[in-house]
Amino acid sequence: MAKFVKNVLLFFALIAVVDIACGFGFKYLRSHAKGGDTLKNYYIAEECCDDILILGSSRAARHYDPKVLEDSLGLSCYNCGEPGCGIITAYARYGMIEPRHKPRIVIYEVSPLYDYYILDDNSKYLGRIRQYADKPSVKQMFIELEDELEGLRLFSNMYKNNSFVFNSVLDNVISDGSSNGFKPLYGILKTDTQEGVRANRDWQIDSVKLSYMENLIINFSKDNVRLCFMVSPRYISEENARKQDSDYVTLVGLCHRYSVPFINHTYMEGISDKPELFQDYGHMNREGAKRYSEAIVADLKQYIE
Amino acid sequence: MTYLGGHLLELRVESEELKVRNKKRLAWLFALLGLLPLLIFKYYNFLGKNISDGLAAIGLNFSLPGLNWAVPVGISFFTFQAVGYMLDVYHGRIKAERNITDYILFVSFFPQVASGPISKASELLPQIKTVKTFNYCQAVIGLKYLLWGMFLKVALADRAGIYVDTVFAEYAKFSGVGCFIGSLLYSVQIYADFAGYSLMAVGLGKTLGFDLINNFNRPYFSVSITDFWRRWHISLSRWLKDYVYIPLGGSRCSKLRNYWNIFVTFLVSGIWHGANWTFIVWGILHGVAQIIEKVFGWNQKDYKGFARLGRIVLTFLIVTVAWTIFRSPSIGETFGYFARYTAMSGQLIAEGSTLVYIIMALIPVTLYEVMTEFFPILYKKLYSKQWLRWCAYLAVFTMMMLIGVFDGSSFIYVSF
Repeated sequence: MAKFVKNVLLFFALIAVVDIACGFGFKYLRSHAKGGDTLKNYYIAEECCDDILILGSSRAARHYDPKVLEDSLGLSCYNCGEPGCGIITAYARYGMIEPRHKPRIVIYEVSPLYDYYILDDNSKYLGRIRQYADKPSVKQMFIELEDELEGLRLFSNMYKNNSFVFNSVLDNVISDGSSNGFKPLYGILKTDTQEGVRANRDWQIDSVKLSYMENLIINFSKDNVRLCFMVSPRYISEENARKQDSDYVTLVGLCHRYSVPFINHTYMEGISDKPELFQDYGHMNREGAKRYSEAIVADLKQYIE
Repeated sequence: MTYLGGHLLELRVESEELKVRNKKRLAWLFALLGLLPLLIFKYYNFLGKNISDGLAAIGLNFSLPGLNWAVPVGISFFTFQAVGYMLDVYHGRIKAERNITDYILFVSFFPQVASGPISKASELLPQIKTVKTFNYCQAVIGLKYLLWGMFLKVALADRAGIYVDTVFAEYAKFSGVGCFIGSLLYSVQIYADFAGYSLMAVGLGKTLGFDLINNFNRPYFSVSITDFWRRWHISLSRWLKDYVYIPLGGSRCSKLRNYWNIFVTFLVSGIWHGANWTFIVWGILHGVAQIIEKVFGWNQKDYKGFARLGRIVLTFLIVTVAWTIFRSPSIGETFGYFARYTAMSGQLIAEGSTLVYIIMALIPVTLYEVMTEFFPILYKKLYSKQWLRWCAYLAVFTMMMLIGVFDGSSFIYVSF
C-alpha cells in the first residue's frame, strides 16, 4: 500500500512539474504570437491602450474597421469584438483593460441573443479568455459563472490552456498582419438562401447577462468612459427592421436610466438594401464594413467633442 | 423480482415439485416481470406512437397517453444483469443468492451500473462475498485502465462528438466527403466513448479489488462482422449468446434455423439499444451481414497480409455505415444523410481545430491498438521499460488536460 501511495504521489508531483512547464510554454506562445486570436487576446489582456474600443459579438468584430475610424477621428482604435460572444466576454475583456487604461470612447455593438437573452450556458463565453484566468477580475467571473471548484481547477496551467494548443502554435507561425482586431468577412450574400429563424423565437431575458450589462455601464460611468450602444445594419427592409425594435426595449430602458446613447442602424439606407455589401443576412462583408464605419464617424464625432 | 424469481426457481428445482414445463413457465414469468420496467420505460412511448401512426394510416384516430418519465440511468444494463442471474439459476448454472444486500450490490455495482459491462453472477457475486485485501499490482493496473479510459472519453470521444454533432445536425451543408468524415468520426466517437467508460469501470473495479469482464478487444481490427461481435461490447454479445441465441437453438440445428437464430439475436440487440427504428435497422444489418458471412464462409477464413488489411477496412466500412444509421435520429434522416454521400459540393470540414485535436488524440490510441494487435512482442518489450511507461502515463495525462473536453458531457451508452 505504501508503495502504491508513494507512486501515485510521485506521479502527481511529476504532473505538477509538467503543469508548471506548460505554464511557461504557453506564456511564451502568447507573448510571441504573430497573429490570430492568440495575438488579439494577448493584446487586449496585456497591452491595449487605445482611445476607442469596440466591444460585442461577431457583428462588432466584422462591422467596425478600426483603420477607418482611426483615420477619420485621429484616435487609436481596437476592435475587441468576438464572434459568438457577448456581454460576458466583453465584461471580462474590459475588466482586463480597465486597471491599466481607460479608453475615451467605447462602442458596444448590441446583439440581444448574446447580451441579454437566454441562449446558452453563460460559462461557455468564458472559454476564450480562460488563458487569462489568473487576472483577478476574470477569475472572479469564472467562480461566479462556473462553480466554486472552478477556482481550484484554474490553478492548473494545463487546464487554463486547454484547447489552446493548436491555435497558440499556429498563431506563432502565421502572421495575419495588423488588423487591430478587425475580422472582416469576404463574399457576397446569396439572397436566394433563407435567413436564420432565431429572430422569430420568443426569447427570455437572462438576468445574469443583464446584470453584467448594467455593471459594465456603471463601470464605464465610474471611469468617465463615454459609452455608445450601436446596432449595425442587417440586410433587411425598413419595415422588417422596425419589427425588430422590440428586441431592444430592455436595453433602451437601461440606456435611459444611465443616460447612455443608443443608435439603431439595423436599417441604414444605402447599406441595408444592397446585398453586395453583405456576406449573410446579419453580417456585412469587408466593403460593407468600410462603408458603415465611414458612415458612423459623424455620430462618433458628436461624442468625442 | 429477479431475486424472488431466483429463489422460487431454485425451490422448485430442489423439491422437483413441478415438471420441467411448469418450471419453464415460471422462468418466463419472472424474466418478463424483470424486463417489465425496461419495456415500460423504454418502449411504451415508441409502441404507442407506432400503434397510433398505424391506426391513423387506416383512418382511425387513437393514441395511448404518453409517459413523460425520466428513464433510470443504465436500466438496460442492470435489467439484463439481473435477468441473466435469474436465468442462470433456472438453468442450474448457479445457486440462488441468499443474501439480499449482496444481490443488490451485484445488480447495482457502481462502476458498471450506468453502462456495463454486464457481469455474470457467477463472476461477480463470489468476488462481492470475498473479503478484499489490497493488491498492489491489481490497483496499479486499475489506475492505468482508469487513465486510458479517461483519455479515450475526454480527449477523443468528446472531441469527436463536437465534430460529429455539427455534421449530423447540418449534413445538408456538407459535401459527400464531409459527410463521410462525419460518419468515420462517429465510429471513432462511439468506440472511444463506450470503451472509455468500460475501461474506467474495469479500472475502478480493479482498484477496489474486483475483476470485471473486459468489454472491448480492438474491435476495429475485426476481419468480419462475426469477428467484430467477438470484440465489441463483449459482455452484451455473451449475454445475447447465452440467453437468446443458444436457447433458440444456436448453431446445433439446420442451417436455415441457425440463420434465423442469428437474425433474431441481432434483432434483440437492436431493440435493446433503444426504442427507435434506426436501432432496429442497425441490429438487422449486423444480423444479415453475419448470415451472409456464414453462407459464404467468410467468417471462418484466416486472413493474412493484404487480404487481412482489406477485410479489416471492409468490415470497418460496414460497421461505419451501420453506425451512421445508429446515430441518425430517424430512418428518414438516415436516407437524407446517405444521399449526401454523393454530393460533390458543400463544406468539407466542420471545424479545423477540432479535427486537429481529434487527430492528435487518435495518434496514441492508434499506436497502442496497432502495437497490441499486430506487434505484441514489441509492445511487451517496450512495456517492460519502466521509464518509458512513466513517460507514456505523463504524456497521456498531459494530453488529456490540454486537448480534452471538460464540459461534463454524458456517455452515449448511458441512455441505452
